[in-house]
Amino acid sequence: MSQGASERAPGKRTQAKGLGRRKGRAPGGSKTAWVHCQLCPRECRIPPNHSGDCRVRINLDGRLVASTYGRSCAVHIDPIEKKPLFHFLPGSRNLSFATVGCNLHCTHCQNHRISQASPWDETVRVQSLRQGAFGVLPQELVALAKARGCQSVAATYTEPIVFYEYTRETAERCREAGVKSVTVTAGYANPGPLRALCRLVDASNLDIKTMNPAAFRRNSGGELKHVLRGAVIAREEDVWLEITNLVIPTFNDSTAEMRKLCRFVAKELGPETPVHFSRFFPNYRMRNLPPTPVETLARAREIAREEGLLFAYVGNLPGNDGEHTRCPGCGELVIQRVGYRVRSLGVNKGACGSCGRPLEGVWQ
Amino acid sequence: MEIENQPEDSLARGRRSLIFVGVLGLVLATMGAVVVEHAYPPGSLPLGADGEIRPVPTELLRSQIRSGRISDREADHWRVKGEEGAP
Repeated sequence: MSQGASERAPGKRTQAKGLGRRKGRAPGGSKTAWVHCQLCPRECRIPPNHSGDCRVRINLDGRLVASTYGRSCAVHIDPIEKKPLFHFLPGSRNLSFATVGCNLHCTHCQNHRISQASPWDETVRVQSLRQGAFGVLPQELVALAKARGCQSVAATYTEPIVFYEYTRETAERCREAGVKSVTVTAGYANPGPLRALCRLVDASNLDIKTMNPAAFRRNSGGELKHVLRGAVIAREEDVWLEITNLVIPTFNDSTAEMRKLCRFVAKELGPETPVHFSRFFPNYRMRNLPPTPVETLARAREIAREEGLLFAYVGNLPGNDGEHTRCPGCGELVIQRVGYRVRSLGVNKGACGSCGRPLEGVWQ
Repeated sequence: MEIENQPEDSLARGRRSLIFVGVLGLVLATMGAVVVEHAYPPGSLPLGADGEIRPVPTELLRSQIRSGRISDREADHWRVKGEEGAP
């Protein structure tokens, strides 16, 4: 399906103040203008017929094209716990979608086949077509979510920031239709566009990969300060926020680094922010490291408790005690999970079913 | 004649072998360079906040846009920088 400017959604533009965006060609009508993409901190200066670092934002004749708008490479129905979001409509179904491209290049990326692919990649396109994912417009995503009983739509798997227009307009359509919208992101965006998106999004899982700026630069090719700023912005804009930290042996598993992460979350995002310590498995260009030992994840949870975080979980470890939610007031088990499945839910109108303490999150 | 020509033949064969080995070496070295460029450790990844700008296959892209495979949807948050060759 072709998507032209005439089919643009009627929703309001979310142009951030002060970004100095100008439509059209360079002065003099040149067809060979460079463009300056101001969406993310990379601030790519893109010559004609080149893409930015994300591969998907392309300067076509002096006009920046969002080449993956409406071009999903994956559309799936997942449990919301898979994002992971544990305090957001637990047990509900979520319609997840993604396009190719990412503005980070993590060596351990679990979805590198799509995140590091190009929009014109025929292999990915053919696979997307086979799955029926290709060419789904925002309104169709929302209609599909409602038809399949999904309470939310998530831009996930790759990086929602690089398909910004698609993510934002899907969130707008969700809001109109009474469906919640979710992003799973690294938060690597400039403040203006990020704030504008956050005002439309109900919940977000933000991935903090490390607290070491040099390691982040080396492993993901970005600057950590922008990720941390993204988390703070999401919090300021009242998005329900949960943090994921993939614990990788020898890379970010030191006690000092875990403590630093927990202190950042407690101080800047609030102690009620859930943190998911996920187990690493060798993948992509990081196959030389072993899976995370279970004891390391237990240590991470212990450190989180010491630093005053109310909800610390382990991920990618089905059946572990660290998957359950306990009431910070009385210690009772309020949500029991196995993997991505909720086995019992002891939350009553957003409060602990046992002691009545209000539980932080978005509940049914 | 055959006996007289033998040393010359072996010399030519030697030269040809040397050229073949040289070309093979060059090809392997080029392949090695490509492999190294894309392999871990990530020293070759785009470091810092500056984006890595990549050329796109223009003809393929245009034909895919015409056929509706890729969107020609204008992106938000950008501005024109100037004429060709601008920094």
